[in-house]
Amino acid sequence: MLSTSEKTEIEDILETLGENLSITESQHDAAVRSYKAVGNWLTSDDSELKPYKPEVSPQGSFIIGTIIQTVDPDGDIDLDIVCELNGKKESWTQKDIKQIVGDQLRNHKKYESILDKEGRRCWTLRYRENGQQNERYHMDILPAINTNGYSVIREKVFSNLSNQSIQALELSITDNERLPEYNISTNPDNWYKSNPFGYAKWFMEIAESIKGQRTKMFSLNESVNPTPKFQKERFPLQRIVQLLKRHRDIMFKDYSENDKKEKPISCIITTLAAKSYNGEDNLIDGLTNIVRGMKNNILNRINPKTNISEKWVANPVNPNENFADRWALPDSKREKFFYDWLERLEQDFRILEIPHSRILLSESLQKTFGNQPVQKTFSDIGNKMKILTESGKNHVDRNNGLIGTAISGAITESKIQPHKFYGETE
Amino acid sequence: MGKLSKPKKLTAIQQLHALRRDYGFGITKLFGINQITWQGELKSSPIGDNYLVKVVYKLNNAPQIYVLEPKVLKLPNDKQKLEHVYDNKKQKLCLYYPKAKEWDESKTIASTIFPWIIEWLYHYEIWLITGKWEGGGIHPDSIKSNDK
Repeated sequence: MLSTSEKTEIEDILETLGENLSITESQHDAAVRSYKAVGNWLTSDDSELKPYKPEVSPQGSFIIGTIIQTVDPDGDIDLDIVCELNGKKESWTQKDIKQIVGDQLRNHKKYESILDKEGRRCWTLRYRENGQQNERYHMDILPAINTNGYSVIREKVFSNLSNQSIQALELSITDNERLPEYNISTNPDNWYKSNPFGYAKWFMEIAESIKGQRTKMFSLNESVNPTPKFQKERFPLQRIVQLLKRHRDIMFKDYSENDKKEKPISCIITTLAAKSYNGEDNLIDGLTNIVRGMKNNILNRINPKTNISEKWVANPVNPNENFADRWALPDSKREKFFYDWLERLEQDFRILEIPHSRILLSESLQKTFGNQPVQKTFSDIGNKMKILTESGKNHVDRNNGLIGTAISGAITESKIQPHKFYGETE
Repeated sequence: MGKLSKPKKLTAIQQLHALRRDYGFGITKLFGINQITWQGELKSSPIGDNYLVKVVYKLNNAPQIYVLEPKVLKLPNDKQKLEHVYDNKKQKLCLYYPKAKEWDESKTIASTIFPWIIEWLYHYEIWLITGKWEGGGIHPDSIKSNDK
């Protein structure tokens, strides 16, 4: 069992680590510029889409505050973008829309971007503005169309997303595995409905429901603003998802390229974490409970077609969609890898439940999360302590050591008087 | 107008009482009337390690602080000496800049020096992990070069 003061110290370490795993303000601003630029191409005068006033917005981890740095410092940051059309030519099928969006992306200046490949529902665009490191994006652009007579993005998302009903945020999308519909259907009312903004709302509502607390740490409304400001703070659930994703990235980083494709997907990690979250107001309790609880939220259902039991992680805003549907594919390692990951999580996070020296904890955290962010975390915390001493706000518990500002008024606490370390150095 | 009186120098016995009161978990001894020693375990922080520390104070001299255990404090991979010590082998800590009078004989060692010892131990651990001393401080060479 951890004492309160031990818990406070470890909590500070995890929170600072989460900050160091997040994207920086400059990366955030560069991401915003990049998807706005893509939006501009799609609405340019020579675009066939122009009459349908395409609106572009990020979705996924960028808007729910769970995006993290890549393990490879040169890696492309994943950005999920929705491109919403307000209407279409009557004759256009799903395939037409997909191709027209693709053509528009392909035709833009080649030095700025490369249309990488066509996915089932998205186009993948590798965006390189000036080719700067850490400002390269791997954008999955999802063409979509609204069917309720209003622009979901402009009228619902950009203006007070928190107040919208989840239903009102649905969008019809193309899906080249839905045949023959993909090739022949011209009526979006019949197409597959996706709800990325509804998902974001669902997630944020859970993140905000911290037991006994009201402080606002992250605003969904701000993050879906046409030009969202960088936000530094996160709710515990957001930080936990960031730590879990990073844990997954490090665990699978040396797997073969083919095996890496079957590693746990962020969407399932995020959904299971949110389903297992119970309003904990600190990272240690949240992580402990979520790591234990995730497997209980993977359900078993009998597939009516095959009569075989399948694993289900239902999309919370569309219960008919199974995020884990690819686990049942023949020869897939996805299910095994997911349970391997859960097991490793339990091992690696056990260290949080029992007191460990800072030195041992730092070694364990470096193995789990990578050297650079962990070392920077301890550096940052050390620096904070120095600043506290300089401003006369640092304290020790004489029995327990340095406690910063986390004083409890105990009789064993003393303030640190201002001073400078002196003496030789190497 | 009365002259402002200089703060009074504390006696060794007064220093001893403060140490027995605040750091009574260690052993404080008096030698003659002018010298005291303290020896005990100090912890760097709630999740930090324990260190056996000895403090020797003789009136009219600066307090001397030694880390007795670990006998040889580990160093980060690329370093050869400890940071902010007077003597690397004796592990004699250097906690304040004497010219700035951050400590003087009118102050209790218990309320000034001892929290600095704990702070040194804390930053020592951070330095072990990161290779960087984040506790701030100054070095004699840099002062010499700034003086002229």
